[in-house]
Amino acid sequence: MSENDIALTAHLMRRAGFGADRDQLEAMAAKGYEQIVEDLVDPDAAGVPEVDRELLFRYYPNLENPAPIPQGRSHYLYHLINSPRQLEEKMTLFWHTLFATGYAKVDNTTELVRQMEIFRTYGLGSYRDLLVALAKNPAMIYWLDNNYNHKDEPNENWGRELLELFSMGQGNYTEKDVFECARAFTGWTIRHKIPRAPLGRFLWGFQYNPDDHDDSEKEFLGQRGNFNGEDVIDIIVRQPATARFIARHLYNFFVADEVQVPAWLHSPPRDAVAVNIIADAFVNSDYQMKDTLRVLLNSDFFKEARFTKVKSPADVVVGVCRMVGDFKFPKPGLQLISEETSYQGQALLDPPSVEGWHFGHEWIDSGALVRRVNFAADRFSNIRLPGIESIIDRIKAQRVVSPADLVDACLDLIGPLEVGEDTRQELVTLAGQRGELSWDTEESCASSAQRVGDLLALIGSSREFQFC
Amino acid sequence: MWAQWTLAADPESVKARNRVATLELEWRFCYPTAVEIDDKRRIIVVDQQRSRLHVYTKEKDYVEPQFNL
Repeated sequence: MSENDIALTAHLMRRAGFGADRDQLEAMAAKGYEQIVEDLVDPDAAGVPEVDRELLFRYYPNLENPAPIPQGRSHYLYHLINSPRQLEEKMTLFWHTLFATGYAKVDNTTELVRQMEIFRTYGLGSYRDLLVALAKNPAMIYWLDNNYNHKDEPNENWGRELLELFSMGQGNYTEKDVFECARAFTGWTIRHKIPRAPLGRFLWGFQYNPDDHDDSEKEFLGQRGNFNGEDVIDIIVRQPATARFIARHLYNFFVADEVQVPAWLHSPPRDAVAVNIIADAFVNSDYQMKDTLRVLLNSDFFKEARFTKVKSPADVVVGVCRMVGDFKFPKPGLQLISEETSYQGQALLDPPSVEGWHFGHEWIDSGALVRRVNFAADRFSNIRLPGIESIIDRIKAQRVVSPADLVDACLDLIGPLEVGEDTRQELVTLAGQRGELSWDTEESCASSAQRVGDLLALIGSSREFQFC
Repeated sequence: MWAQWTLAADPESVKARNRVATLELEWRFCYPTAVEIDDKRRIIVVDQQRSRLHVYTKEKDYVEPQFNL
């Protein structure tokens, strides 16, 4: 197994998941790159288990039907950290970013968590089926007012966002298409529910009211017919604009940061050839996400895109937790840590608007950067965490003593992380201020172990660590 | 009892309950966390997410003995 195999596997796992520790990387790299991709895109076929929710609910019973938003974030974050089906979980974040639905309006944490479950179930499957499931999702119906979309009084909110932000993108449809799309979804609503008092919330459910559906003829994207919602979705997914739009989102999320979505109408893709390859895979697979992602993750443009993306707050928090082995078990403190992405600018389950979060360099501002650095440094310097213990054990086994070797070993084991020569030299200088390491006595081992933790914290504070 | 008072004092809730297709969901457990049998042979279930106890009484006299063989 070459160093490049490990580096490439690490890159794959940072993008198609939230990273992996060195033991996991070595085990995966031995399988071969294409087989790892195959296991990621089709976890059912690979027999990869789901998160052990019974264990989570045993220690956090209030997370089964979470009420306050921090509970919903705890539920979600635990899945992001611990799901063995890492790409499936990463896709929940992709779809959550694309189909941004927020607590600020929905005000129902359980229903937002259930929407994540839709992304888990359909996220690697058919995009068409996902759109249908989403159109019937009560949280989405409420978020975009489709419960106010009536036969005699259409409400365009869902129809407009379905076209503008969820499928085709601006510039590819007319105002009449928006109106006709809205008409097709009249009668798609939320069923009456048992009121909240006095027993607490009951789950929301989808209901189709045929009496409230406008069944008359519609003209939508050049086609005529008595379309219902599913007919409209069938037409949308077949549009070339949809393939290009979803492909660009996939490129932006998995490969390299694009300009922000509202600028896509006027700005060409960063790599039009790559976006076309993804779009072709999307169409040729009959809009199957797993087949599309298989092409993307096996492509040269993906493999060559190391450290070209700014980590999202979720990448930072979940990635660090996985690297240091924290919260592998539902121990106390999950709720505190689940708010960390919010402090860094990404309030999970509550995006700022239906447009979702801005990304790339916009993740970084002076406040967010301090939170990102402190979060990583706090955990990397904690030498009692199992992932850090494992790194120390490896360095000790290699009998690393010189500051330069220590820096190189830490950069290797924390990533492998590629840093500029100036950064490396700065790290060597700082590591050298306390001389060489020693592993001869119990006391010197303890001192050297802490020096490893301190150096890892410095690396976690570096500019390069902000990229994935 | 307090729950009944709460409902009776809130006509909007009464109306909303009348609109739903079924109240069957109210009877289901929602993450029960403990079960006990008390000295009156009642089964008591802690229904954690609904903040209530389910109390079950064994109706042992309901079925005639000769049909209970």
